[in-house]
Amino acid sequence: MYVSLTLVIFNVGLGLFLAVSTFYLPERTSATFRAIWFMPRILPPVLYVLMWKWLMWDNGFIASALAPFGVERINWMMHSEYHAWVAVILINGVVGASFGMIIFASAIKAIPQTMLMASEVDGATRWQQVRFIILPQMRWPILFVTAYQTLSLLASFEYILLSTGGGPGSATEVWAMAAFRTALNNYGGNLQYGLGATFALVLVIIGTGLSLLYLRFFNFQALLAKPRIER
Amino acid sequence: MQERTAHHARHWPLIAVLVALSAPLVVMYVYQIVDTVTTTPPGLDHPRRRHAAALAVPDRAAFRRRPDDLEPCGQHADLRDLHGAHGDLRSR
Repeated sequence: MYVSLTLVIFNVGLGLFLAVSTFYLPERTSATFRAIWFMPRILPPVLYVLMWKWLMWDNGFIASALAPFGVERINWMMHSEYHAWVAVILINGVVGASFGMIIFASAIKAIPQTMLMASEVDGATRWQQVRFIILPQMRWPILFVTAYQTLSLLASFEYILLSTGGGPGSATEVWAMAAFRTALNNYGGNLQYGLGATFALVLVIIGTGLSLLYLRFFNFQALLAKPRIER
Repeated sequence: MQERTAHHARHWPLIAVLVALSAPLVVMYVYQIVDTVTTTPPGLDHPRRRHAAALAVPDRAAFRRRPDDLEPCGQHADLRDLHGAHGDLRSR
């Protein structure tokens, strides 16, 4: 649920929206928005998560901004399981959208301008250009971002560890974090390497299975095939 | 010029959406910079570091100030305002 929501809404959805929308904006405006959205990807995770804590904790920006309106000061990151999951999805999602935007924006730049110009001459609207020219040529980058980010979301947990620490309780403890805690960071001291490795192995199997599914869904063979004119 | 204005006018809904989406990120960047450049040690407002408030010097600028600098001026008044705000937060 966490992986699919983050992946669909942010990594691919928001990344694609940012790339396409900034493509149509004037150069300086698009550069400004891309710079804003590029930062999360290049910031060190500790600093990036600290920024979110400054925003969401009970003495942070959201709580301070809402306090004059009579809203109780709560920790917007850890108040409940729901809050924690929303925070985890947002934190991972913004980084994913940043990554997606970079890949998609460069892929859109690679589309021959003559195709877009010809469509404008034919009277195509912006939406028609996106629907019939840009999106069909984005299958490869979308496949790459989807597969790469799925594996990344399944296997990495540093943003969760730094933000919620898997809490409240163990509500946001994902499998990768459970594997880490079981095998390498057990407070009880009885480290269970075998069980932790098994957790991790399950993630490898899930990741491999999902990757194969993506290859089939995006018709990977057709993407690799020679153009018909060369056959 | 007219053409450029019309060009920008056509983009305003897209720019409005992007501004709305980017606003939280910009707020975070600004807050980070403000927290770093003010005299409060960075991250002091972090809940887990509240205990550090007792150790922190509330107005370090006062130690650097010479007696003839104590005349009210805009800059110091602003600093005092900032310290006041942080003091309020720490007391929670």
